[in-house]
Amino acid sequence: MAKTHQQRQPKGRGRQHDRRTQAGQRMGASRSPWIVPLIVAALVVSGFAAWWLVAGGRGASSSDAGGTQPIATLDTPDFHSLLVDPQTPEHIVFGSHAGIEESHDGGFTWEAGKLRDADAMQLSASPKAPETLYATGHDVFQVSQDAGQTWRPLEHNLPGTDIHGFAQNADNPEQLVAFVVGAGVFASADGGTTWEPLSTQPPGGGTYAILAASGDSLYAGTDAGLAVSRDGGQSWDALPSQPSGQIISLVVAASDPQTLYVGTPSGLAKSTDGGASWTSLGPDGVPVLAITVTPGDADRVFLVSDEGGIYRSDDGGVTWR
Amino acid sequence: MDIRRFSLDGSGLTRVLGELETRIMEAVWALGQPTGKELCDALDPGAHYKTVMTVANRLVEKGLLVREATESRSFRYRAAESRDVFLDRVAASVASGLVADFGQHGLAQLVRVAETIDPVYLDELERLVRERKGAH
Repeated sequence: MAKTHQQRQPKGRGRQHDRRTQAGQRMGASRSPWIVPLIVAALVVSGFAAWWLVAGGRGASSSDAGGTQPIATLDTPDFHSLLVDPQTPEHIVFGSHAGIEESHDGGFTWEAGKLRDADAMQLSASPKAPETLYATGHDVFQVSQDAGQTWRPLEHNLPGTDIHGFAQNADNPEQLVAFVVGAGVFASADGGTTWEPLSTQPPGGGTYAILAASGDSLYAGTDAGLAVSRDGGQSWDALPSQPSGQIISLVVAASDPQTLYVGTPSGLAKSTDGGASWTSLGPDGVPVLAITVTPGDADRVFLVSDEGGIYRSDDGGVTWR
Repeated sequence: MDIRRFSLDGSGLTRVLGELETRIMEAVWALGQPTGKELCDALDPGAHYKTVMTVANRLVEKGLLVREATESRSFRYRAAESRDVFLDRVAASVASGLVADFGQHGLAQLVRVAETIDPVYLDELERLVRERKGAH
């Protein structure tokens, strides 16, 4: 189905939500008695279709070029970050330069979040400290300790707050890493209060470094590709096998540190062996600006495309809807 | 977009736009209606996709670019106005400030600079003045 600009919904509202609203309005406008059986029939058919989609029906496969549609489309100025709430997997948080949007139904409908007019380029949380969320970006280092209900600036000693890369260790939520533009990658062991520059910067990380951390592994996507440090940033090794294309998003599954997803301008790549090998996944040709994995379920993955499409996979990226 | 700043230190469009903004506008004018990826590929290899998208979307907010959803599930960007129309607006804004704020000084310097850069400009200035007077 072709998507037109006119179909885009008001800021922060998912398209599926509005489809339901429009359907309700049409039904309310019907008055002729003879039309009732037709409406009942239509309701049965559409209800079955909705159940099939929501309760386990498969979306188009990744090889179905042009067939896979997003479950919602956001209308924000840009599209930067996604996060699944570790406590409530149906609670999804999205970040842009305008702040955060939130979904409470697994990504189908969206509303404005509590952090507004702040650049939420990166979002992070850990299953070990699920109430704590971090939002970082240009002149932004905010923390929430009530799963996003309230936010406050974090006191820190970073040399700047133009943070264009950020990650939290899923196994140790006090361990954070941040890429500060013009200053490099820094690490904190106390939840973000005090920071030290990494003794060795990731190769190629002069202009940007997209970060992910789990266990003893710290990953950095830079101009030089994807590298890993197993010693807290004292040394780096380029991964022997690289995903194809510029790395623009990166995540490690909290429940399986061997599972990595990398987003590029041309699509998505997945590794299940710690980055030793990669498989290209759909939806075909969609630029993956942000990606997140459900902390308790490495197969439930969400991504956002460069036109704000929210895509969801419940089988590790094999099929999308 | 109203022209709100003019840098004496810049050159070309970087006097009124940022450096990456200028490169993106020039690329869009050259390419027509590129996707984000096509736009990024047209810039130098060091340009990071997310940075390019961030700045392109800032240009959308400023009204210089228009972004449109496509069947390819990737925005296409097009310039809101042609390069010539944009340059006309920049020149009009600068000339307005020069003459309104500096009067005779501004006019005198305009003539002197035209002659210094290329004497042909002086002839062109004379032609434009005659043409303008003839129109009234």
